[in-house]
Amino acid sequence: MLEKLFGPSSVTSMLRGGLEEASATHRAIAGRVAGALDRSSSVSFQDQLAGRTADSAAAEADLERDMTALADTELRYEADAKLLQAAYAQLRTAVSDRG
Amino acid sequence: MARIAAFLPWPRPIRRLMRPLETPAGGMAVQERFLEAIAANIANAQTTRTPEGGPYHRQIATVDRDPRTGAAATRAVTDPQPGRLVYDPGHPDANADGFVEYPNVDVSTELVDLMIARRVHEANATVFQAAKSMLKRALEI
Repeated sequence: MLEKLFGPSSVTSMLRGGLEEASATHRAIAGRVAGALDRSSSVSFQDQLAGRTADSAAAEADLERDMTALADTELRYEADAKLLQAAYAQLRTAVSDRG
Repeated sequence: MARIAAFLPWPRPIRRLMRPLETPAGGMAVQERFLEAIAANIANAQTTRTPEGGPYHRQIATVDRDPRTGAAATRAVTDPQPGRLVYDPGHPDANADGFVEYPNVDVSTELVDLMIARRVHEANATVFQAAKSMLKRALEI
Protein backbone atom coordinates (compact mmCIF):
# COMPACT_ATOMS: atom_id res chain seq x y z
CA MET A 1 0.00 0.00 0.00
CA LEU A 2 2.68 2.47 1.05
CA GLU A 3 4.84 1.22 -1.82
CA LYS A 4 2.19 2.52 -4.23
CA LEU A 5 2.16 5.90 -2.53
CA PHE A 6 5.90 6.43 -2.00
CA GLY A 7 7.67 3.73 -4.07
CA PRO A 8 9.76 4.24 -7.20
CA SER A 9 6.73 3.96 -9.50
CA SER A 10 4.67 6.46 -7.50
CA VAL A 11 3.70 9.86 -8.89
CA THR A 12 5.75 11.70 -6.27
CA SER A 13 8.85 9.67 -7.09
CA MET A 14 8.50 10.34 -10.80
CA LEU A 15 7.97 14.05 -10.18
CA ARG A 16 11.03 14.12 -7.91
CA GLY A 17 12.97 12.51 -10.77
CA GLY A 18 11.70 15.24 -13.07
CA LEU A 19 12.93 17.91 -10.65
CA GLU A 20 16.35 16.27 -10.43
CA GLU A 21 16.57 16.02 -14.21
CA ALA A 22 15.68 19.70 -14.59
CA SER A 23 18.34 20.60 -11.98
CA ALA A 24 20.95 18.56 -13.86
CA THR A 25 20.01 20.26 -17.14
CA HIS A 26 20.28 23.65 -15.43
CA ARG A 27 23.75 22.74 -14.10
CA ALA A 28 24.91 21.72 -17.58
CA ILE A 29 23.59 24.96 -19.12
CA ALA A 30 25.19 27.03 -16.31
CA GLY A 31 28.54 25.32 -16.94
CA ARG A 32 28.37 25.98 -20.69
CA VAL A 33 27.36 29.64 -20.27
CA ALA A 34 30.00 30.30 -17.56
CA GLY A 35 32.69 28.81 -19.83
CA ALA A 36 31.44 30.49 -23.02
CA LEU A 37 34.44 32.81 -23.20
CA ASP A 38 37.97 31.80 -22.30
CA ARG A 39 39.63 35.14 -22.99
CA SER A 40 38.70 38.80 -23.23
CA SER A 41 39.82 39.10 -26.85
CA SER A 42 37.70 37.82 -29.74
CA VAL A 43 40.70 37.95 -32.09
CA SER A 44 44.00 37.26 -30.38
CA PHE A 45 47.48 37.27 -31.80
CA GLN A 46 47.52 33.46 -31.64
CA ASP A 47 44.33 33.31 -33.70
CA GLN A 48 45.75 35.70 -36.25
CA LEU A 49 48.81 33.50 -36.56
CA ALA A 50 46.59 30.46 -37.02
CA GLY A 51 44.28 32.35 -39.40
CA ARG A 52 41.25 31.93 -37.20
CA THR A 53 38.62 34.59 -36.55
CA ALA A 54 36.00 35.29 -33.93
CA ASP A 55 33.50 33.20 -35.93
CA SER A 56 35.17 29.95 -34.90
CA ALA A 57 35.09 30.95 -31.21
CA ALA A 58 31.44 31.96 -31.48
CA ALA A 59 30.56 28.61 -33.07
CA GLU A 60 31.82 26.75 -30.01
CA ALA A 61 29.27 28.35 -27.69
CA ASP A 62 25.69 28.91 -28.77
CA LEU A 63 24.22 31.28 -26.20
CA GLU A 64 20.84 31.59 -27.91
CA ARG A 65 20.31 27.82 -27.81
CA ASP A 66 21.38 27.66 -24.17
CA MET A 67 19.09 30.53 -23.18
CA THR A 68 16.13 28.83 -24.90
CA ALA A 69 16.98 25.56 -23.17
CA LEU A 70 17.21 27.46 -19.87
CA ALA A 71 13.72 28.94 -20.26
CA ASP A 72 12.39 25.47 -21.12
CA THR A 73 14.12 23.90 -18.10
CA GLU A 74 12.79 26.59 -15.78
CA LEU A 75 9.21 25.96 -16.95
CA ARG A 76 9.58 22.18 -16.63
CA TYR A 77 10.94 22.64 -13.10
CA GLU A 78 8.05 24.96 -12.21
CA ALA A 79 5.49 22.48 -13.59
CA ASP A 80 7.10 19.52 -11.78
CA ALA A 81 7.26 21.49 -8.53
CA LYS A 82 3.61 22.56 -8.81
CA LEU A 83 2.45 18.98 -9.52
CA LEU A 84 4.60 17.61 -6.70
CA GLN A 85 3.16 20.18 -4.30
CA ALA A 86 -0.37 19.11 -5.34
CA ALA A 87 0.54 15.41 -4.99
CA TYR A 88 1.93 15.98 -1.49
CA ALA A 89 -1.20 17.97 -0.57
CA GLN A 90 -3.36 15.01 -1.68
CA LEU A 91 -1.23 12.58 0.32
CA ARG A 92 -1.40 14.85 3.34
CA THR A 93 -5.18 14.93 3.06
CA ALA A 94 -5.30 11.14 2.66
CA VAL A 95 -3.12 10.37 5.69
CA SER A 96 -4.82 12.91 7.98
CA ASP A 97 -8.19 12.07 9.49
CA ARG A 98 -9.60 15.45 8.56
CA GLY A 99 -11.79 15.71 5.47
CA MET B 1 46.73 35.37 -11.37
CA ALA B 2 43.41 36.17 -9.73
CA ARG B 3 41.50 33.17 -8.44
CA ILE B 4 37.74 33.39 -8.70
CA ALA B 5 36.65 32.76 -5.13
CA ALA B 6 33.86 30.41 -4.15
CA PHE B 7 30.52 32.14 -3.94
CA LEU B 8 29.95 32.35 -0.18
CA PRO B 9 31.12 30.29 2.82
CA TRP B 10 27.72 28.71 3.46
CA PRO B 11 27.30 26.03 6.15
CA ARG B 12 27.42 22.50 4.64
CA PRO B 13 23.65 21.72 4.35
CA ILE B 14 23.04 25.09 2.71
CA ARG B 15 26.15 24.85 0.49
CA ARG B 16 24.70 22.02 -1.60
CA LEU B 17 21.47 23.96 -2.01
CA MET B 18 23.33 27.07 -3.13
CA ARG B 19 25.66 25.25 -5.56
CA PRO B 20 23.56 26.07 -8.67
CA LEU B 21 24.21 29.75 -7.94
CA GLU B 22 27.99 29.35 -7.80
CA THR B 23 28.56 28.52 -11.47
CA PRO B 24 26.83 31.61 -12.94
CA ALA B 25 28.33 33.78 -10.15
CA GLY B 26 31.81 32.53 -11.14
CA GLY B 27 30.98 33.19 -14.79
CA MET B 28 29.98 36.77 -13.98
CA ALA B 29 33.21 37.29 -11.99
CA VAL B 30 35.25 36.09 -15.00
CA GLN B 31 33.42 38.49 -17.34
CA GLU B 32 34.10 41.33 -14.90
CA ARG B 33 37.85 40.58 -15.14
CA PHE B 34 37.50 40.65 -18.94
CA LEU B 35 35.75 44.02 -18.73
CA GLU B 36 38.58 45.35 -16.54
CA ALA B 37 41.20 44.28 -19.13
CA ILE B 38 39.18 45.85 -21.99
CA ALA B 39 38.68 49.06 -19.96
CA ALA B 40 42.45 49.26 -19.29
CA ASN B 41 43.15 48.81 -23.02
CA ILE B 42 40.73 51.57 -24.03
CA ALA B 43 41.98 53.91 -21.28
CA ASN B 44 45.57 53.43 -22.47
CA ALA B 45 44.92 53.47 -26.22
CA GLN B 46 47.06 56.62 -26.57
CA THR B 47 49.69 55.95 -23.86
CA THR B 48 53.09 56.20 -25.52
CA ARG B 49 55.16 56.05 -22.32
CA THR B 50 54.87 53.58 -19.46
CA PRO B 51 57.00 53.08 -16.29
CA GLU B 52 58.39 49.91 -17.92
CA GLY B 53 59.47 51.94 -20.96
CA GLY B 54 57.89 52.14 -24.39
CA PRO B 55 54.21 52.35 -25.23
CA TYR B 56 51.39 50.49 -23.48
CA HIS B 57 50.84 46.95 -24.72
CA ARG B 58 47.38 45.47 -25.04
CA GLN B 59 46.34 43.15 -22.20
CA ILE B 60 44.26 40.05 -22.81
CA ALA B 61 42.56 38.42 -19.81
CA THR B 62 42.42 34.63 -20.08
CA VAL B 63 40.84 31.94 -17.94
CA ASP B 64 42.54 28.80 -16.66
CA ARG B 65 40.14 26.14 -15.45
CA ASP B 66 41.03 23.36 -13.08
CA PRO B 67 39.89 20.23 -15.01
CA ARG B 68 39.15 18.42 -11.74
CA THR B 69 37.18 21.03 -9.79
CA GLY B 70 36.23 23.40 -12.62
CA ALA B 71 37.50 26.34 -10.55
CA ALA B 72 38.43 29.31 -12.71
CA ALA B 73 41.45 31.59 -12.35
CA THR B 74 42.07 34.61 -14.56
CA ARG B 75 45.40 35.97 -15.66
CA ALA B 76 46.45 38.78 -17.96
CA VAL B 77 48.76 38.15 -20.91
CA THR B 78 50.41 40.85 -22.99
CA ASP B 79 49.74 40.98 -26.73
CA PRO B 80 53.27 40.99 -28.23
CA GLN B 81 52.27 42.60 -31.54
CA PRO B 82 54.13 45.84 -32.23
CA GLY B 83 52.25 49.13 -31.97
CA ARG B 84 51.54 51.38 -34.94
CA LEU B 85 54.21 53.92 -35.92
CA VAL B 86 53.09 57.48 -36.56
CA TYR B 87 55.38 60.14 -37.97
CA ASP B 88 55.32 62.99 -35.47
CA PRO B 89 58.80 64.51 -34.98
CA GLY B 90 57.52 67.07 -32.44
CA HIS B 91 56.23 64.38 -30.05
CA PRO B 92 58.32 63.99 -26.85
CA ASP B 93 58.41 60.20 -27.39
CA ALA B 94 59.44 60.31 -31.04
CA ASN B 95 62.47 58.20 -31.97
CA ALA B 96 65.54 59.43 -33.89
CA ASP B 97 63.63 59.06 -37.20
CA GLY B 98 60.69 61.09 -35.88
CA PHE B 99 58.30 58.14 -35.46
CA VAL B 100 56.19 57.62 -32.36
CA GLU B 101 55.14 54.09 -31.45
CA TYR B 102 51.53 54.04 -30.27
CA PRO B 103 49.96 51.14 -28.31
CA ASN B 104 48.85 48.05 -30.26
CA VAL B 105 45.27 48.76 -29.16
CA ASP B 106 42.49 48.95 -31.74
CA VAL B 107 39.55 50.68 -30.04
CA SER B 108 37.00 49.15 -32.46
CA THR B 109 38.21 45.63 -31.61
CA GLU B 110 38.04 46.46 -27.91
CA LEU B 111 34.47 47.73 -28.26
CA VAL B 112 33.44 44.53 -30.06
CA ASP B 113 35.08 42.48 -27.28
CA LEU B 114 33.26 44.66 -24.74
CA MET B 115 29.92 43.85 -26.36
CA ILE B 116 30.67 40.11 -26.36
CA ALA B 117 31.78 40.15 -22.70
CA ARG B 118 28.68 42.14 -21.72
CA ARG B 119 26.42 39.70 -23.56
CA VAL B 120 27.99 36.69 -21.84
CA HIS B 121 27.73 38.52 -18.48
CA GLU B 122 24.01 39.09 -19.13
CA ALA B 123 23.57 35.41 -20.02
CA ASN B 124 25.22 34.41 -16.73
CA ALA B 125 22.96 36.83 -14.86
CA THR B 126 19.92 35.19 -16.51
CA VAL B 127 21.15 31.73 -15.49
CA PHE B 128 21.63 33.05 -11.93
CA GLN B 129 18.07 34.43 -11.87
CA ALA B 130 16.73 31.09 -13.15
CA ALA B 131 18.65 29.18 -10.45
CA LYS B 132 17.34 31.58 -7.83
CA SER B 133 13.71 31.18 -8.88
CA MET B 134 14.09 27.38 -9.08
CA LEU B 135 15.55 27.28 -5.57
CA LYS B 136 12.77 29.50 -4.29
CA ARG B 137 10.17 27.25 -5.91
CA ALA B 138 11.78 24.14 -4.40
CA LEU B 139 11.53 25.68 -0.93
CA GLU B 140 7.78 26.22 -1.45
CA ILE B 141 7.03 22.49 -1.96
